Amino acid sequence: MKKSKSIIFIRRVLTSILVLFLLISFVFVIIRLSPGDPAQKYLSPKLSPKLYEEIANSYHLNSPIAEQYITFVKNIFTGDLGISYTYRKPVVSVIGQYLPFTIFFSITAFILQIIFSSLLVYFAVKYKGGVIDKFLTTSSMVIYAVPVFLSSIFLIYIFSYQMNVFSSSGIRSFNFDEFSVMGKLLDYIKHLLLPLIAISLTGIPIFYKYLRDSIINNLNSLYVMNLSSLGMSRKEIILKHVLPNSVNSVIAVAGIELGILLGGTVIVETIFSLPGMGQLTMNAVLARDYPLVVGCTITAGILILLANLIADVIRVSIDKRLLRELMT
Amino acid sequence: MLARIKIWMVIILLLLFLIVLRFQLISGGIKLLYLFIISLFSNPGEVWIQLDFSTVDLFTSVILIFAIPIIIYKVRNRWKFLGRNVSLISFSIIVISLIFVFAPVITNYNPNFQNSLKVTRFLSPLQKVQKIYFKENLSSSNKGNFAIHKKKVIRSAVDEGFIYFDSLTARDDSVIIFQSGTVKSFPKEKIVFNDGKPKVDSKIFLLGTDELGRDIFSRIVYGARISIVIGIFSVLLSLVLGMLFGFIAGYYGGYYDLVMSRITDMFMTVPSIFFIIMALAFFGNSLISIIVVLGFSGWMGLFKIIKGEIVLIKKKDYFVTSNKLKLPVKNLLFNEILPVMIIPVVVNVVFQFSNVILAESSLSYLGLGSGLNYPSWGSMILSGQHYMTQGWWLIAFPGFALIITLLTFNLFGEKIKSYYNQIDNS
Repeated sequence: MKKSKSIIFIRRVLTSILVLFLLISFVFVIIRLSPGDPAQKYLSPKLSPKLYEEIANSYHLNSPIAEQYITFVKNIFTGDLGISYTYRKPVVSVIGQYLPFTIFFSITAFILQIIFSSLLVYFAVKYKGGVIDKFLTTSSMVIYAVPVFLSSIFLIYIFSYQMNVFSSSGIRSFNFDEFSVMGKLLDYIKHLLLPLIAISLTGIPIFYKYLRDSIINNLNSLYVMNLSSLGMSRKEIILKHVLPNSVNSVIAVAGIELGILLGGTVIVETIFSLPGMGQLTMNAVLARDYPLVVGCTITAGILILLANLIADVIRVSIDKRLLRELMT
Repeated sequence: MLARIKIWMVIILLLLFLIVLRFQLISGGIKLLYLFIISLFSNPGEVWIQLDFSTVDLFTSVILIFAIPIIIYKVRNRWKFLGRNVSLISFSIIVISLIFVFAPVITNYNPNFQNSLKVTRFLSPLQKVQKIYFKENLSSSNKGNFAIHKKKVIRSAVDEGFIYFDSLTARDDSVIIFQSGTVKSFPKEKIVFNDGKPKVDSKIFLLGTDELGRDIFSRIVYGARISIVIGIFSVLLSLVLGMLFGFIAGYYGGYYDLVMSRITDMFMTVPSIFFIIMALAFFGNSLISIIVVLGFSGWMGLFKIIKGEIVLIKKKDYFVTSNKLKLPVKNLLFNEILPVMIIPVVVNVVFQFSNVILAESSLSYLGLGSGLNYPSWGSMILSGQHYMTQGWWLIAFPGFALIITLLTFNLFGEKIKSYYNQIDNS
């Protein structure tokens, strides 16, 4: 059993690498399909055609496509994503500056989403079919339909403009250095609370719906009836049997939800001007900084692949039956 | 009481309401259509030059507003859904689709119409503005009858025939108007008079105006159109791609299945907004590129459903038999496979439609939308947030329209899904 587990893990990792390879190939296809070539995008059209030739040669644009493709893949796997036009630095180091914030931000938002949605599900299941349950289910449907940029603007309007309690942009005040340690922490919270709420609102309805549906489905199933007829207390049934069964389907959703979360960071970071990958991507697009755009896309892809891998490992360690499923 | 109302009644009532509300515009449209048909025989060259998108748009609206009741009357027995009781979801779907079809009749304004910016900037909802008319100089018009009438009926982005003002004083030889700080005087013979006084009309902006003095109501109506057009075409593209790939992967299996599934994994892995932003960065953002990119980013769900269904169907007896009978692949697809999976596909398409509308508005909010030629809810919210402190209505109404649309299609999808599950279980 132990051996087969590691084999499956290695197979899963290999599939992820294959998918990453496909992603890189696809990025290459998009770059080559788009009108104009990289040298044209790099140069001003006013410069001489001789300079264009020089640059095209230095980029190996005149060599055959297959050769270009191999160089492209090789460069990316060795961590060379080119040099950003706007920052005049290697793309990898620019992304390295902005990545930690996004990872911190998404993980915090993810944890918040899970905590709040499980709390809400707790109330919904406790008063199943009651007013609270109905209210929560309806409002989660409505909140699900609210785009993240609208909820962000709404929060800014209420809390930053009308009440003036939270800040609407950046992650620290301009006089940040003057604060004490507690003051610094408070300052961070003041800046990050609104974006965190805004982005959590996108995920809470999804988790709420899946967790509630699977818990209620499990509660209606025959094994719960059997257990309760044997005299097991309801609390024990829920904690020991229903929850582990329900959590599994939620973890499967979590992988998809992370994609939505990362997409949401693009918008939220742009609105609240937070120094993360999303804002970096948007600025790169608006400045037509192509190497940086490609770098950001590939980084986001790697992040999601990693997250899905972790989610699968957790799922398998919770439910051993999935291992057998994956083996066949 | 409300439960008794059927869907066809709602459609006809709304159309009647529209006809009463915009009687002038619709009768003008009918006259224009009549002139168009007449001139097609007398002077076809000139008419074809005059024909543009907004004219055709008005013609279709005017024809459909009378054709739809007749069509409903003809098919009322065959299309069962027309006889269903109306619910909140179906009501708002009807309203959204009527807005989509009848946009030129619903609004009295071109979405990009601007006039007297000083007066019309940031008007709050239901605020009244007064206007006076200039006399038309008919001397320069050597154009045909159709062109003259078209100018009267079709709403263009510019109209020099009138001007908005705050207050006015009529002198003996001239009329002086005040426009929040500016004073303008016009000679008396240029202004239209009525009983010795300048003819003054008032205009109410239903949902207010934005920072450029444009009517928000008509921008929302035309924005709905853009959202729905992008939604329909990119969902169609996703449907075609998903069906094609799903059919190949499911029917032929083997290596095809393996390769297609890995490619699908790749597309599902990249958070679609990053992929969309990258593609738009390289191809530039326009209406067509948005449709294509959103279509390409949404076929994976359909692929998985169709592939799964085909793999299931392949094991069924009836399919094996018809395969053994050497039915051509085309017949297998259209007669055996498609009818079985129509409901899951429809559910997915509805959700995909609302996803696309959300993605389109997010993209135009980020400044990567279909450009400034078309009003879009996302770009309205983007420009409105800069003036959030001056007018809440700049964001609130487009945002509300967006939320209602998304909610409607989400609930509609859920409803079909639960209906389908009921059939499946019983």
